[in-house]
Order: sequence, then C-alpha cells, then structure tokens
Amino acid sequence: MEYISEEILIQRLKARDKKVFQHFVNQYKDKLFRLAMGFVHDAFLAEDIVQDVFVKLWQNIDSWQEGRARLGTWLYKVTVNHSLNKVRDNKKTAHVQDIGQFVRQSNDGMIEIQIPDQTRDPHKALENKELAGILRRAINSLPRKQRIAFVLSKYQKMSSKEIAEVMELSVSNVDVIIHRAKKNLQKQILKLMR
Amino acid sequence: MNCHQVRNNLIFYYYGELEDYQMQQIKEHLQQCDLCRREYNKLALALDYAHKQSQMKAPSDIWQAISGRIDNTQPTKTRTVWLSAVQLIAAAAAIAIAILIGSLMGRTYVEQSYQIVSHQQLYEDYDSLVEAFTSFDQSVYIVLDK
Repeated sequence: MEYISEEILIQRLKARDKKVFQHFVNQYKDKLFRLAMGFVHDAFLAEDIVQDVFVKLWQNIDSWQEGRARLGTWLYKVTVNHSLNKVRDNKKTAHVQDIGQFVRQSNDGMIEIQIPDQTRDPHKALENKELAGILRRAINSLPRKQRIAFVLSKYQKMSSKEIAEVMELSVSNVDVIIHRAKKNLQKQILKLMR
Repeated sequence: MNCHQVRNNLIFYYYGELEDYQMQQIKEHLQQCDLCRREYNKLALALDYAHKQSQMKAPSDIWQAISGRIDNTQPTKTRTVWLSAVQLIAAAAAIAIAILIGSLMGRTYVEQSYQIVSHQQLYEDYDSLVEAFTSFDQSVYIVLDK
C-alpha cells in the first residue's frame, strides 16, 4: 500500500474505495479500541464503539469538508463522545450488564456466549473483573475533562499537545487537567479498594 | 518525607513523574512504612491493570464485522439543490407560511429538516436567513437532508 495524503485518502473514501478504507481501519482500529477501553473497560463494548465509529465515517464521508480537523483527530473525538454516551447509557442498564457482557450476536445472527477474560485462572479472571470495575468507577467519577484528558494520556499515550488538539484546549490547561485527574483518580481508587 | 506527603504523591511516583530526589525519598519511605506501602501496592495493582488495558488490541476480525455492516447500509445521502434568488425567496416564503399556518392551528409539523448553507457560513437562524436574502452576491443553496 503506497503512502497517500489525507486529501487523496478522503477522495478515495468518497469514491467508496473499500480497499483503502480497509487499510485505514487497520491503521486506526487498535488506537480507537484502546481509547474506548479507557472509558468502558469492556472489550465487547469497546469493539462495538470502534465498529460504530468506522461505519459512521463510511456513511458520512460525502459530507466531509476540507479545512475541517484532521481525519485522525475527528476519529478520536467521535470515539470519545461515543464512549461517553455508552457509559451514560450503560449506567441506566447496569442491572443487565453483568449477563449482557458475556452474550453477543455474531454476524450470521447466531448468539454467542463468550468469556471476556482470556485467562484460564478463575481467581485471576475474578480479580481482573474486579479491577476493571474499580477502574471504570474511578475513571468515570472524574469530571468530564479530567476523564477525557487522562484516558487520552494513559490509554492513547498522547502528548499534551495532541490532547490539546483533540480537546481544543491550551497545552498548559491540559497539563493542569491531567495533574488534577491523577490526584482525583488516586483518591477514588484507594477509596474503592478499602 | 512524612506519610502525608508520600501519599499525596503516590500516583506521580507510580508514573515516575517526580524529581529524582523525590523519587528516591518516596522509595526509601515505602521500604520502611507498611501502611504507605500497602496503599501504594493497591494503587499500583489498579494502575497496572489500566496499563494492561492500554496495550490491548482490537479483535482481529473487526474488519469483517465493519465490512459486513457497511455492505448492509447505504451511505447517508445529501442532495444539494441550487436555487436562484427568486426560488430562494419562494422557498423561504413557503416555509414561513407553513410555520404560520402550523402555529395558527396550534400544531407544528416537521416533515423534513432543512439546513441553509452559504459558501462559508451556515445560516442557522431566521436573522441569518434574512441577511442571505439581501446578499445577492453570495450564492446560497439549501442542503436537503434525506
């Protein structure tokens, strides 16, 4: 696959070049998956989010206007927003989440039951599930900006400058927000682990 | 460093974000203080798990799932209709009459959403629309969302 500029990439996507789209998906899928994981802490949910974001891009690429944010930045923003919406929606359906997270519908319509944690050690799986729950609650207890900045920093390994671009804030502001996020996160984690 | 100072900085110690001398002081404190060490170990356990999550990869078959979904859905089409100034005025008048009738009847029907767009600017409200009528040097077109 040759290197193509973003302008050409968008032209090819608008021309419905599926091969180029596949290459683009492969380039971003892991990054977006990790980003979504930082908010939802559930691999199935994170996968759904990533799928939704790419499908949305494919459906709406015709209305993409030059001069807007870079495509990568747009993907991160949409993934953050979609993840936060999923977290909000999941709070409403928390009572069915414990079962629901093990059940999914495959592409051919079959219902699959899967064990989300790949470890074969049940104690370890339980510990991981508890840790995921603690992280989810601790991170979701942070104010919105702190939550986003922390996840972009630690799950996406973004620099303050990159985070500033996604969040449309100054770099110094981002640094302050991340510092506060870490302090609050420590407090929340230790409170939840008492 | 005392316990209070150490506990205020545990997460920064975990991420190695302190000055060298502070890192050393906390390291030495944690070797001696059971309570602070216990707190640090709990925090490190959760943050190690977060780090593990941040290394995860998307399922290898995710492209197949996305490909299947985009094959089953049509792209969102927007139809762009260029209007002359006369047609624009007629369209706006029709919309205004429809709104007037709707409000008179105490009901509002929304059958189709309209976005009024100019070359550089999105006209979102009535005032901007009026402004568009008076600026005939600008080509104004309406995007009809399906």
